Amino acid sequence: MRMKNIFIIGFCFLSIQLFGQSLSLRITVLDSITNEPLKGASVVVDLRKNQWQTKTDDKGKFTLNMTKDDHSISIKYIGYVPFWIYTTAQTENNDYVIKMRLVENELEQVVISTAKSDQNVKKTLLGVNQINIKTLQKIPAAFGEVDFLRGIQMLPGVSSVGEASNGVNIRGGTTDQNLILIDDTPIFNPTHMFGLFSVIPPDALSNLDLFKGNVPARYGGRAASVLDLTLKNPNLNKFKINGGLSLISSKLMVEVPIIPDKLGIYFSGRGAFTDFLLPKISQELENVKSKFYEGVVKAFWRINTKNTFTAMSYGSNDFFQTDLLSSLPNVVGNTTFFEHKTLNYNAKWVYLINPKLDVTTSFTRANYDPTIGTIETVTKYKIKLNSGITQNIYKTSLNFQNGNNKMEMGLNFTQNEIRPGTLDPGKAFSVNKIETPTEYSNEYGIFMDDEYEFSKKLAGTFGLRYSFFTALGASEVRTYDPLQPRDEFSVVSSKIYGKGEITKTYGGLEPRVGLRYLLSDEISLKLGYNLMRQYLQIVSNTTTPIPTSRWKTSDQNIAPQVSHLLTLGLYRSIDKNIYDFSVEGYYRASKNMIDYKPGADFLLQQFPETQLVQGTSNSYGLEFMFSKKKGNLTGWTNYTYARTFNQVYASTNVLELVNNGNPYRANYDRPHTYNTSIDIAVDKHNSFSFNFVLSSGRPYSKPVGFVSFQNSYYPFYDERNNERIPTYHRLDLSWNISNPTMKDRRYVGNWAFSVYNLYGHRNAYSVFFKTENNSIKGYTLQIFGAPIVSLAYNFKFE
Amino acid sequence: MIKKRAIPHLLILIILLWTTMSCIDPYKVTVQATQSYLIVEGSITDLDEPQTISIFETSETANYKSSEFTATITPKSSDIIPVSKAKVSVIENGQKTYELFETQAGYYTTPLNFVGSIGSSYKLIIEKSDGKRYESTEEKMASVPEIGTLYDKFNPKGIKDNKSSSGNIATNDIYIDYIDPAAERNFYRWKWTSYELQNICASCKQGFYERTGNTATADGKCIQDIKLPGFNYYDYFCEAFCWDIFQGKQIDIFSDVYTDGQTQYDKVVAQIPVYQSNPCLVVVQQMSLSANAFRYLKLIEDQSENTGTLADTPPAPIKGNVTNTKNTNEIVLGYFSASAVSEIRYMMNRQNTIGAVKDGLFKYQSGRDPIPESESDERPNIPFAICKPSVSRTAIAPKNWQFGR
Repeated sequence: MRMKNIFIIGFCFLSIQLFGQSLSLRITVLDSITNEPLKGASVVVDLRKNQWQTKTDDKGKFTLNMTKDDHSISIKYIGYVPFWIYTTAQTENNDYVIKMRLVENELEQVVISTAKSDQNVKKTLLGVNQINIKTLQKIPAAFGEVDFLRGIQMLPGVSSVGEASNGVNIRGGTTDQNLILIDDTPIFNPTHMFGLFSVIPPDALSNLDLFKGNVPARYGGRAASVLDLTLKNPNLNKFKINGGLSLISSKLMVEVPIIPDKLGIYFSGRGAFTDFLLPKISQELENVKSKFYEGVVKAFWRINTKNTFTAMSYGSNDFFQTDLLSSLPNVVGNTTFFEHKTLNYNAKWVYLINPKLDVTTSFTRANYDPTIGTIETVTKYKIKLNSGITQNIYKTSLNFQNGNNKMEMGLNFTQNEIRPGTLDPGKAFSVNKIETPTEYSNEYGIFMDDEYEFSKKLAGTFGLRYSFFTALGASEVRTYDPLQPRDEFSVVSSKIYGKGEITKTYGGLEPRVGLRYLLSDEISLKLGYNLMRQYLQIVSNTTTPIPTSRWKTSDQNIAPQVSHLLTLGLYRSIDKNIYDFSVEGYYRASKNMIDYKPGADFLLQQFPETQLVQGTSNSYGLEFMFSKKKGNLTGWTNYTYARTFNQVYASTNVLELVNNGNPYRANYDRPHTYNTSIDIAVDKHNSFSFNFVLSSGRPYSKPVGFVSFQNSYYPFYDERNNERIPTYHRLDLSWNISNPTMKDRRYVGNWAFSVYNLYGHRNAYSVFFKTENNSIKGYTLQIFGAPIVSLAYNFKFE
Repeated sequence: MIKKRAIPHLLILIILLWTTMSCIDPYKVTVQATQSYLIVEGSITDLDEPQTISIFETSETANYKSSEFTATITPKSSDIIPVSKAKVSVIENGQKTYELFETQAGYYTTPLNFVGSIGSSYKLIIEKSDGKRYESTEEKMASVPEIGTLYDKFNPKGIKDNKSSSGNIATNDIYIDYIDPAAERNFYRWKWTSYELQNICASCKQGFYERTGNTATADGKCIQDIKLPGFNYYDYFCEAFCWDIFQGKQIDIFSDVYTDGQTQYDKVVAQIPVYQSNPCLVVVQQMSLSANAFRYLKLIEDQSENTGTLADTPPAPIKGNVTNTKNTNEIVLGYFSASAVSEIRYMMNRQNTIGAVKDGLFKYQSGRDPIPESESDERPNIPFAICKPSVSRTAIAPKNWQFGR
């Protein structure tokens, strides 16, 4: 008879053939990556647990004998995506091999939750959100570009300074306090075009884990959160092409299995060359030129049942020319341009010692090279200020799982190389070549995470990390008179260190604890505590870092940032995990937060400590989240109350105090935020998504008066961030049409129609004052002041 | 049916609904002052001309409010109070004291025998009549290189100007070259002043201009006449040459941190708006600054001019270099500096200028063509108006003025 494709949730197709009156299916269940048999997976026929339930044996096998009829067979295993088989009267006897995928690898139906759909209540970690790519794709986005940074801003506790912010603020942290990883490789600049788009090729993205509460001990080096983006693994069996076109970009992904079941590779890329449209979007963008692209190549090799090897390379490139940013100062030039490149590599080897124990070893290299430049007026030669950061990360970890005990331990070693800046005049003759010395440092980490279930009710994750940091020569290290402001004149002594010499060390323990207590099957209470140390940060005195902002490690004069986070949460699942409700409260205290002296300038500054000051930051908040995870209507709604106050008070000198030493609101302090994101599936082909965002405006400094001097009027300021810009609100809509031809073909096209800022509210990004004709005018700057309508087409060919 | 494997050639359809938008909206604020600030401003230069220091105070009760429609804040002159009867002196190199005398309320001028000299240090001392004493830091006058070549170029796009219908006004851009001295840190500031000919020296609303008679004064006055309609204007030509004075309002500073010892070409130092096609005199000054004066001006520039970008610097109080000797935490605004000056007085003929109108300055300023009063039986002789000197007008030909009208 005919072969018939049956609907599956997973990645491989099955066919079942007709045979007589009774039906016998022999099925083997394997892990999709390691090919290990999955023992104890539960098999339920027609959702009747009492009559038709069985489990897979040691070899992952089971046999089903039943009448030849319509049946639905579910195969479930904890941590794996459920697998369904549907039979009909025509189905024939057969043997099947089912490869189940880990939820971590591909999360399909779960819209949003803590790691697993039914584990929001039971998981021991707090403040962990996971979004899969399907959800991200449905969230309406500006210009129809899938954007993880805008997506996660729909979650509680995630905010930003506005639509052009170069990163997000998580639970009161600065943008550089988030560790952003793409397949384990760190990303130093997460956006294109100054915050308008995020830097991941959307087709390759599989999953996003946001750790804003408990951060597992395997992550280190940043003080606020971890955003772990996982890319898809190459398909080992099927040749696939996806692609798409939108107003802004075109993208393509090609997956090629080289040796079936053994070796596969893919390329995924996106490019935007449509900057000629920008002036039509806004007059402000008239002088903006922008081109960007990014790509990923990833190969996966299953050497044998015990060993797998993955290699990945990610690159991104930006060019933009704008007058919306201050230019390269003190150079006679007439245009400012920015160029920045990221090039990351990762190689990972997983060795499965036995089904309970595996070793993962990886090497990562991350490289980020931003350039700011100008064009010499008289000769039209380019003058460039090049800078860069390179990290080499060596990591090995041992994962162990036995019953109610899950353990991971490992070692990390990171080498940092920071090139703070070289002014390269090229052929231009009005400028000198100026170099600042390259900075070297190492970071060591040893960690252990243990998840242990004490009883049915009480379980916990116990993580401990020890991090150790060494700042290395060659460098000149200054000692300053502690009673005077740090500047050229207060240098007491200066010591020259040779290459590789240790100039300063820091280190300490970083406990990470999460406890869960089940009040009932559906309600749990959790408590978490985290300590994180950060040795590498951005030094930039702007409201949001610009792509060329300088990265700086700790040294003798800049102490590492240390952050304590205490979280308490209540979780409730309703109606068999269809609904989830949670409340999380947190308090975060950090020290050595960085702020800046008035007029700080880091360009080609060999001693940035003379420009900055360190202080404390305290934030607290309460997050309410309600989500519906299954059904035709899915989505979530949340309300967050969050505050962040900084204080710089240590110095006795008024020049080294911010806001006279009194606490002041952080730039991203937005007390009230209400977000809703809803997706309604109308039928198999049409779905509608809505976002609604309402949030307090961020603070700005309002002048205390205006004075006349230098032939003009100028505002003058006293208190920092003493006012707020107007409240922000926005509604977005998207209409996703999948496969409108409704034909079952190898080629499938999807349309996504979206309107960002549907009712065109002119949300302010900033408030500023300009002097004009002997008077002052206040203004608001808007990024998206009108509805942005776009249509994107995506296709899939398998 | 044949399965279509090729990618359809038409993949994209872009719909753009567009509402007219600009990315910047006016924003209204009301600022109520809570304290008074002293503003001290002035510069000692090596030019052989009187040097003036201005001392003002902001009003403790000042209220700054955005206007209803344009959201413009125009500080009231009553909120800036001159500090009179202060004892003001400048000390040269810690030795010689020059007493300054008050020429106008709040303005103090150096004595005639005073000329600043390069390499000397200057310190400002102020004793207010209420006994408060203020001192500036010592400012050393650094040398400044000469301006090399100077030329102008017509720039039809020009600069933003909200008085013009297009939002922009064309400019004559002034470019200079100079040679930065090697092996020393130099800080620069450029200032410009232009002298434009003005042909209308008085305008009377619902009235007539009189220079003689019972109610008039010798320098002329508008006499109201209620027989004229309320919106009636008469404009009166100047009796002789009269110049309106314009000054650059932007802070234009530069440091040679990246350019030490190199010749700098094509530096734009002034953008002179093309109000009219008449020639004008442009005075460009290249001044030296101390490192602290440069930092101070840089902060002012960052907080008032380099704003409205995607990544602004959060503003902070700016402390000048004048402090209250008893209370060093008191914020005194403004800066006392010492600068050497290289000056070029450039007669710009505007031959390269396109689209400008002769004697168009008045129309630009008032938004209408001049309406001369016609002769009548009652007033057979229409008087010419006096060019009344002020900070923005002079009847004395500026030095180096060359042409006629």
